[in-house]
Amino acid sequence: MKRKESKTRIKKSINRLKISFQFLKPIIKGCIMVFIGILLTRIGIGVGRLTTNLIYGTLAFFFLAFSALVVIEILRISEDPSYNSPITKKQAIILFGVMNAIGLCLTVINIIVYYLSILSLVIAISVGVLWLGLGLCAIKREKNDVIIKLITTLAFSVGIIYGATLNVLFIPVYVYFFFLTASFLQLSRENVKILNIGDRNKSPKLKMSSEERVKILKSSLILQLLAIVFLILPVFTNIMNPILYILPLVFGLIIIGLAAILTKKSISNQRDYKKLGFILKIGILVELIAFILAS
Amino acid sequence: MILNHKISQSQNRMKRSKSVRLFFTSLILLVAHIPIASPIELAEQWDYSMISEFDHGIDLFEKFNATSGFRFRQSIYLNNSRFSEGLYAQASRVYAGDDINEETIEESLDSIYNYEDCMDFRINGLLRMLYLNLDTDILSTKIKNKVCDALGKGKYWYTEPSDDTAIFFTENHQILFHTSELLVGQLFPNDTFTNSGMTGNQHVENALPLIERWLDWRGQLGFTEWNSNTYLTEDIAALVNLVDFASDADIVYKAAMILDLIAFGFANNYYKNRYATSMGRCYDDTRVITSRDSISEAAWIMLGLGKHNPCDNSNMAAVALATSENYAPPPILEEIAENASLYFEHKERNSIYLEEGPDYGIKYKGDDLMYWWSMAGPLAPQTIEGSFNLIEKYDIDPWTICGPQFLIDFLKISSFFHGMTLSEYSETLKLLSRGACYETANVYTYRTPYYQLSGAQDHMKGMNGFQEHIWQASLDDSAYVFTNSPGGLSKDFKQFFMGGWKPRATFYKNIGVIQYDRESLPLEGEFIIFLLNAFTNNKPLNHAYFPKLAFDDVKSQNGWTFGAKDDGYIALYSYEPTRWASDYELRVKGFKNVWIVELGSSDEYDSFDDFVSEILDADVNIIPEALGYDVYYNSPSQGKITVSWNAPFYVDKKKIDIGDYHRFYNDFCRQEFGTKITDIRFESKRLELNFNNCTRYYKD
Repeated sequence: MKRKESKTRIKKSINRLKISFQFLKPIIKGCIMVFIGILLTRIGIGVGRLTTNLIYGTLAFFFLAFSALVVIEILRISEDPSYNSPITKKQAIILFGVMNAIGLCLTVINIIVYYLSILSLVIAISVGVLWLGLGLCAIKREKNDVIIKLITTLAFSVGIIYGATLNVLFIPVYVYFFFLTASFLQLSRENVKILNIGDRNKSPKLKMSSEERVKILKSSLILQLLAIVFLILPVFTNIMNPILYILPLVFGLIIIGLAAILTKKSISNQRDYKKLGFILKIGILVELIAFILAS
Repeated sequence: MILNHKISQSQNRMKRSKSVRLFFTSLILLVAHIPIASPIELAEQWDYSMISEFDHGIDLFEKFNATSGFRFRQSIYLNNSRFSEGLYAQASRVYAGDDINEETIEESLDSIYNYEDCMDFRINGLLRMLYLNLDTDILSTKIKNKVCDALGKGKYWYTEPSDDTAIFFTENHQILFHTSELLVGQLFPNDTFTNSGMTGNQHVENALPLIERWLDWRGQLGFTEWNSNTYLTEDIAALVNLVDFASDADIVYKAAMILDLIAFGFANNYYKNRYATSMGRCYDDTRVITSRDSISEAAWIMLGLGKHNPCDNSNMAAVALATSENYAPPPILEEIAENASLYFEHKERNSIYLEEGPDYGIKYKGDDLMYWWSMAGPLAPQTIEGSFNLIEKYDIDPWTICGPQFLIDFLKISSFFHGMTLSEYSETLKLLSRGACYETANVYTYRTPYYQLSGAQDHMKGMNGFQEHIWQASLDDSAYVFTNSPGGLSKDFKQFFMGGWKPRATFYKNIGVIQYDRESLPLEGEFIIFLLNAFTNNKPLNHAYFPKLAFDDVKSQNGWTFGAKDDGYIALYSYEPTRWASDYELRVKGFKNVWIVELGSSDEYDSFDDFVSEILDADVNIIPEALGYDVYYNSPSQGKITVSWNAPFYVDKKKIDIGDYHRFYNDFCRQEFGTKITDIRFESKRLELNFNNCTRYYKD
C-alpha cells in the first residue's frame, strides 16, 4: 500500500514537472535567444561585460517572457470559463505586473551598474507594452488563437533583439534576419500545433472546419517560405562565420523545405500534423545551431 | 573440517601472493637503482683528438682595463665557487687548479646522451671546463674521455638526425646550442661527430653564421626575452664562452658588446639588490616570497650591483664571469650604475612587432622562423603556416614548439571548417596565438632613492601570455608589489603570478594605471580557455602580490591598500572589492578590474599617515566600459590622471609618451630603435658599440 502511494506521489510530481517544463519551455528558448543575441554582437566587448550581460540579460528576459505566458493564461481564462487554470484571473494580472516589473528592474540595474545604453530598457518596456497591448486586443476579439500564437512566438524570438541591445547601440542587420527567421518558423509551428490539437480532439465543439484548416495551412506555408528567405539572407551580410553558418543552413533549408512540401500536400489531403510539427521542431533546432555557429 | 581446509587454503594463497609481491617489489627496487644507460652512451668510446692549446689572441683590453672592483668581485666569487660541488662550479676548480668532483660531471652527461631538454646548459658548462683545462691540465684522462665521448655523440641543432626532447628554439637555447656547436667544433676540428656525421670544422662553419645572426638580432633589436632575471643567466654564460673561446674576432667582439648591453640594462633597471623591472620571461619562484634573482651574482660581479650570496656559488653566468680573462664591462657602466642609483628615468624598447619582420629583413618562413620561434611566435598569423611546414620537414616534436600534435590537427581542421587559411584563423585566435609572442616591450623605469616603478607600457593588452612580468613597484628587495591575472596559457600551467592575461598598463613617474579585461574569442577559443582553466583549476581572477610581512606598516581603506617600508610609501587601489587570500596575495574575483598604484616618500609627505590621508582624499572616478574602463584619478603628486582602454594616457592634461620608445632613452644613451650603434656617455667617458663594423670603442 505504501509503495503504491509513493508511486502515485512520484507520478504526480513527474506530471507536475512535465507541466511546469511545458510552461517554461518557451521562456527557456527565449533565454537561449538572448544568449545568441549577446554572442552575435560580442565583437569589441570585453569578457567582463559579456559575463554580466549574460547573467543579467537572460535573467531579466526570463521574467519578461514569463509575463508573456501569464498574459496567455489570462486570455485562456477569459476565453473559456471552464478552463482549468492553477490561478485566478486577478492573480494572473498581478503576476503579470510583478514579473514584468522584476524584468524591468533587472534591466535597469544592469544599465546603471554597468553603464549600458538605454536601448535595452526601451526594448524591455516595449516588450511589456506589447504583451499588454496584444492581451487587450485579444480580449476584445472572440477568438484569441492568433494573439496567443503571436505572444508565444515573440516571447521566444524577441530575446535575440534584447540580447543584442545589451552589447551594442546599432544592431547588425543579420540579427534582425535571425529574429524574423525564428519568428516565422515558430509561428508556423504554432499553427501546426493548433491543427494537431484540433485533429486529436474529437469534440464537435472544438473540431475545425476544413476551410479553417486550409487557411491555417496556407498561412503556415507562407511563413515557412519567409523563414527560408530570411535564413538565407544573412549569408550576404557580415556575419562572423559565414562558412560555419552555411553548413547548418543547408541542413535547415532541407528540413524547412521538407516541411513546406508536407504543408502544401496537407492542404489538399489531410496529413499527420504531428509529423509536420516534429519536422518544424527539428528545423527550429537547426536554426538555433546555425545562429550559434554564425557567431 | 571443510572450513579448516578452506581457511588453510586461503592462508596458503595469501602467503604465495605475499611472496610474489615481495619478489616483484625487490625486482623493481633493484632495477630502479641500476642507471639504465642510453644506447648512445653504451656504444663504444668516441675516438677523438682534441686540440692541445687555445688562445684566440684577441685583446679586449686595448682601450680600457677592467676596474679593480670587477677584478676583486671576480676573485671573491671564484674563491667561493671553488668549494662548491655544483656542476658549473667545476669550471672554477679547473681554472684554480683544484681537484674536481667527477661524480657531478658524470651525472650531467646523461642528459647529453639522451638529448634531453637543457642539455645545452650542461654542454656549455662542460666546454668551459675543457677549454680552461687546456691551460691547467687538471682533468683526469678518465673524466676527459667521458666528457668528450658525450660531446662527440651529442646533438647540436634540430636539423641533425635522432629524436630528442630538447627545446632548441627559445632565445637563450639558440645561443647556447650555437655556442656549443662552435666551441665543440673548434675543440675537435678533425674528428667526426657520430650523430651529425660532420667534422668539427664543419660544425664550426655551420655555427658561425647562426651565432652572428643571433648577435646581430640582439644588437639591433634587443632581447625578446626582455630583462629576464632567469634567462639572462644562460645568455651571459654562452656569451662569455664566446668571448673567451671563439676564434672568430667578429664573434668575440659582438659577444662582448652584447654583454655590455646586458650590463647597461642592469645599470638602468636594478634597484636595491633586485632586477626590479618588467620581464619577458619570469617564474613565480623568482618573484614571489624571494629576495634573489638568478642573475643577481652576475649583476654583482659585472657592476657591483646588489649583494653577493656565498650560497649561489655554482651559478652558470657567475662562474663564467669569474673565470673569464677576456671579458670585463667597460668602467663607464659601473659608474653609470652607481650614478643612476638615486634618481633616474629610463625608457627602452626590446623586440619588434610581428608585422615589422620585413622592415628588418626577417622572413616568416624557413630558417628565419628561428627569430619568431624565439619570441614564442610559431602560431602567430604570419608564421603559423611556415611553422607547420618546418615541423613537418624536420619531424620536430611539436611539444617542443607549440604543444601537442592534436593542437596542430585541431587548428588545421578548424580553419578548414571556418573556410579560412591557417593565418586567417590564427588571427581570429590572436588573443592566444599572438598573445604568446614576446612582441615589442616598451619598458619604462622611474627611480628615486625610496622607490622604483617599472613596467611595460600598454603591452599587448587583453592578450594571453606565458611568463610575462608586466610591472613592479619596489620599495626594497622584498617589499615590492605587482598585479597579474592568471589563466590560459601560463607556462607549464603552473604559474600563478606570471604570464596570464596582459593588462593595459600605463606608467608615468610614480603613478601607474593597470586595467585588466579582454575581448572574447571564437567559441572554440573560449572552449580551449575553459578547458585550460578547468585542467589547471584556475578561476577567473586577478590579484596583487603584496607581501604584508615585507612592509613596516600595511593599511587598507576605501579600496586602497597602503604599505610603508623605511621612507618609501605605496598605495594600491582596486576598483573591484579585494580580499586577502594570504599574507602576500590580495585577490579580486573576475577577469575585469582596474588597479591604480601611486608611490611616495618622506621627501614629499610628512609621514606615512599623511601620505595615506592625502591619497584617500584624492578623487577616483572609474566608469566601466564595454572594454576596460574610463579612469579619472586626481593624484596628489601628479594631478589629474585620465586613461581608458584605448585612449591616450594623460597626466595633468599632458599626453604621456607610452611608446614606441627608442632602443634606449635616458641621460646616458639615446639610441633610435632598429639602429646598430649604441653610444653611451657619462661625463667624459664614452662607450660606442657598433654592430655595423663590429667595433667596441671606448674613450676615457
